[in-house]
Amino acid sequence: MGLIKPLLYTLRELFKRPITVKYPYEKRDISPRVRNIHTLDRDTCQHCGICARMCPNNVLKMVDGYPTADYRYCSFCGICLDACPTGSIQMIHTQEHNIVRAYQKDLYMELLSPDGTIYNPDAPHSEDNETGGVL
Amino acid sequence: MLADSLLFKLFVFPGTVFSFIIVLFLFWWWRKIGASIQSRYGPKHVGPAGTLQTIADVVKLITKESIVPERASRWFWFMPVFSFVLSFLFLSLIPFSDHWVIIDFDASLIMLFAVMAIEPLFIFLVGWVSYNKYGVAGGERAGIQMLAYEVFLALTFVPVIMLSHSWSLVGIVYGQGVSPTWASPVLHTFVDRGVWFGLVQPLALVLSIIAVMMATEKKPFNLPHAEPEVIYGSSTEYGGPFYALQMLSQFLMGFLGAGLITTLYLGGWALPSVPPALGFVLKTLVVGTIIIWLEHSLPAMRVPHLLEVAWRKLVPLAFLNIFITLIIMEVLGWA
Repeated sequence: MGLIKPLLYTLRELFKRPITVKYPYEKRDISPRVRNIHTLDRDTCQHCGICARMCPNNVLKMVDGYPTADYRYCSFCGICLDACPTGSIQMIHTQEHNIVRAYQKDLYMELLSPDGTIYNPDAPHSEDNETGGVL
Repeated sequence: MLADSLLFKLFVFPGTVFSFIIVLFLFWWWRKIGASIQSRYGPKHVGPAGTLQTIADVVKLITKESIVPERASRWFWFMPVFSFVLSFLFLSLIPFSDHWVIIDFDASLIMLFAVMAIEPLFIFLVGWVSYNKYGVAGGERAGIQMLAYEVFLALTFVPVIMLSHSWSLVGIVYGQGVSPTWASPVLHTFVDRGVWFGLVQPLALVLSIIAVMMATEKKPFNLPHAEPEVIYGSSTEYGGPFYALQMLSQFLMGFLGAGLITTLYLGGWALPSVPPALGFVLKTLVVGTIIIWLEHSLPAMRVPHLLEVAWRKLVPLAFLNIFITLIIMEVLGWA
């Protein structure tokens, strides 16, 4: 009997639909509360720096009047979103953006624009991995 | 005529070309069934429903470099080829129909049994010549496994020979009441026209499936190449084209094992309103699918466990099967 049970189980599984999601072709619905990486609307940003002050991990730093993020330490808590008085900082609501980079220093970066593009692609990066680059 | 010549049989059907095609199909089928059981899709990108995936894999494997271990024997190259040739010898004995059989003579069942007995020796030698501890361990396990299944496999052949009065595989199929076009699996015409032996002795059918799974190293009995224990057993050191050759011969043996069950217990090529050879292939694929299903359902065994099951349970069952068949023959007046 102990032999029959797994056989019946696998037979049942054989005729079920696969649970695999064919990822690039079809996507699973993601939770409305998913927080991916930040975007910054530079037109409405008031340079107040509240986001940088509220950030629990000191991820956000004000450089040239705009917040920059060091994604080595970001926990994607979203407190900066709540703190921003104008709602300029948002977080992308997709699963498409990942923040994998070849070097740690590249994780210290400007916030993306709301349409997901980079504001200043030619920004110089520091060689110093500890403090991150200066944009 | 070309289609009747031995060369055609050797090289086209049921010989080389057909066996390559069926192995490529079977590999794909094996992956698909396994994937379905595990709630996956399996291969699906190359060709329609991934049917060309195996061809892509074979091309990739052939173009890879073959690395020879430094202290390997100079027989390193030849042993996998011998083992492959042996599986072709097996193929030549299986009757796809009474016409499509390469070799058939009075004792082809014994010949086939001998081929099955030699094969583990070559598996062992494949491991031995590659100078690898996993290879040797896997080869030893193949020998142990051979000792386990060979006895009760032979004992399950005995009632088949008693029922059909024949040692030839074609004769055994004839003994099941099969003319080239018609089979009668219905029990009331039992004695007059014969019946598939799987219906007379279902126990032997089950035992044979177990034995074939042991012989072809399918999952509960995959000790000779169990990945967690002996990396890939005797073929550990073989990569690239030789890995492809190993897989080819392994899947060919799987197909032929299923074909043996079809021949002995399921009426061979007999399938109403289907050409004989096609009927044989279809039946064999059904048996093969059952084996794949079993393979993906059962957990692997340990060596002592395997020996205990084989010698303490299956060998007595095979003897019991002989007596049951004798009683059935007596009751039904089977000549």
